[in-house]
Amino acid sequence: METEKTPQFTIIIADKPEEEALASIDSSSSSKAAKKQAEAKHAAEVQDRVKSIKAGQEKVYPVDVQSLYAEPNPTLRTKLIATVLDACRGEIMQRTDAVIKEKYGRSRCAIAEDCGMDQTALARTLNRRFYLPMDSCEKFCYKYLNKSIHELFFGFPKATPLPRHLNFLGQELDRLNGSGSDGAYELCSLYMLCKEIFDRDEDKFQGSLNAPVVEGAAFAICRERLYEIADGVFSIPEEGAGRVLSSNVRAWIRKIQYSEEANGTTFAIMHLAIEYQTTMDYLLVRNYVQVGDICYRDEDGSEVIIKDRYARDIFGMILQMSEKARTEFIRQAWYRLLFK
Amino acid sequence: MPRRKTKAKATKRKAASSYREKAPVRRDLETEKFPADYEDALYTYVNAYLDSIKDDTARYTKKAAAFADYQERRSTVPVGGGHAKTRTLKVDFSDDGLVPLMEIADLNYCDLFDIVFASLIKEKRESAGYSVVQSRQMTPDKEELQHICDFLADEEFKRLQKLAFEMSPAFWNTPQALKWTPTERTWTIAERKLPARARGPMLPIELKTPGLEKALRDNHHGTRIPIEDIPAIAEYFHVSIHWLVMGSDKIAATAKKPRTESVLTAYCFMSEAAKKDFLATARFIAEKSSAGKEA
Repeated sequence: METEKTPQFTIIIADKPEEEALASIDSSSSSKAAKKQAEAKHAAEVQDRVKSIKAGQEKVYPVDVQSLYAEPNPTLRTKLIATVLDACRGEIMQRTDAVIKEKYGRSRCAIAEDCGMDQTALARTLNRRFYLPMDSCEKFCYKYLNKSIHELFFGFPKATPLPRHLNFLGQELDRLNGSGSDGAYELCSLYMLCKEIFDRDEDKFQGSLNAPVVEGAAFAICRERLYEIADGVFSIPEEGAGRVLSSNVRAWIRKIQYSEEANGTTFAIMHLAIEYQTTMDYLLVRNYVQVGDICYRDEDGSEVIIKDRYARDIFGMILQMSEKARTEFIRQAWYRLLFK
Repeated sequence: MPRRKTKAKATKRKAASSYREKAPVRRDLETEKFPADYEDALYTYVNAYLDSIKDDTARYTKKAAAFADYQERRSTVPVGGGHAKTRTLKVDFSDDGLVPLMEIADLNYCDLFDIVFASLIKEKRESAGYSVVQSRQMTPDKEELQHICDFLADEEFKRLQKLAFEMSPAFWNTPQALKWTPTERTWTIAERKLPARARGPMLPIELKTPGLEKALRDNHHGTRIPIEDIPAIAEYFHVSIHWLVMGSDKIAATAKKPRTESVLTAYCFMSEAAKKDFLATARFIAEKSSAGKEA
């Protein structure tokens, strides 16, 4: 068997069938080796990046979520995300502390009590190492900072994608908004219908910003939302909606799914928000429309933000309605939108 | 000393081999074939059915001609490679393989499992220590939806179908997914619905038949799933049997009208919240429409 080198590729000339087989094995093993080499090189690059982030040489806040999500190797991805998120804490702490000092001055004790934290925990969070319990996130961000949880933790606002079963409703309501005065009238009448059903609904979830923080509430919402994401793609949460997850992330998901104690960490939620391409608000807050945008996925997969106030309010009410009231509204809404 | 070939010759040879790779080959055009015993059972049933309608001459003549045409078409497929020989294609799940036979024998997909293959399925499932799962088993909500869809007018049905497709996950309805064989479909839902550890030795007991275990252990997806286990797979994962067997648009599984099957398939893939909303919408539309009122 002889080989001829050309600039682009190697031609292996075989004289016998068995040599042809050998040649094919040779080429496949060489491509495998090249692939392995590229993977090793990539792993070394990621490790270097992790080191430089840890050493504080690389600026990571606001977090570039897309580049973290795009990392193909699940183990390296987990490592990279963990490092980036850990490195953000200092920046988040500084920014939050400045806002709290400016807006609320010395009334930190009242804030801590209102958010279900003890005073020392809040002081530690704002002065030493930023950490916020899951249950306190909604009130702390929405009420005191007036920004979404995602914006606080990742440094930039992101629109929350609607779940699959509400996606088409978002699309249709947005279409109404853009279709002249008839559409606006129809949208307004749908809003009135929704408001009427919402007001009549006795089992609806009450707004939580002015109520005391309930321990474990955010954890229960997170569990519910993980199932919602998974059901939207006919999958189980552990399978990551068709995406390979690292064993650490799987373990967190299993813990959220099956653990009786509500002991998840905000850090795990940040990680899951990246893996599932959603926002932390979606995973922690019942009505994530209160602060921050919502969006639907178009037919080509692009995210379109819903700007209309009526449409946003309709979704806000849907998210707080009981199941019975939601079904009542949705069936009438679809009848009006598609069949009338 | 082996003869050294020129570079031109090698390039020509490489070009020829790449041409060979691109040209359509026989196996690209086929889908999952039936095992011989199932194929025999199907042909036996079709022949028996034709015998049973001999009294109705017009119908018999039409169906017998269609059957003869089908056999002729399937048995004269050129082998290829410039040979004059022909070969007979085996029955497969495609629209050219199974569907014409089912149309000739007036079968739907549930009849196929519950009548035509009944004895084979019973024998194979029971020998593995499993009971037979009826393909017609349906939950009350699916029955209700089926009833509503069967009675809706065409225009209303199309809108409801659009809503169903938009509310259910998109993966099963893509152009690529339409070409998946029953084995590929089973693999897809198993990978989505079973944790990685449960696809190995910890396979759920309902799916642990020898054939299915072997098929799910084959990571190259080369081992086909046993036909006798298809109703059990549909039952376990709560998916539509019509979708699982690459059901044709022309033939139903449980519904009266074949068109209904697409909505039922979409409904099976929906989340629980979406199912409730969708069923309530379908009910509401049926109440409002005249055809629905009659139903």
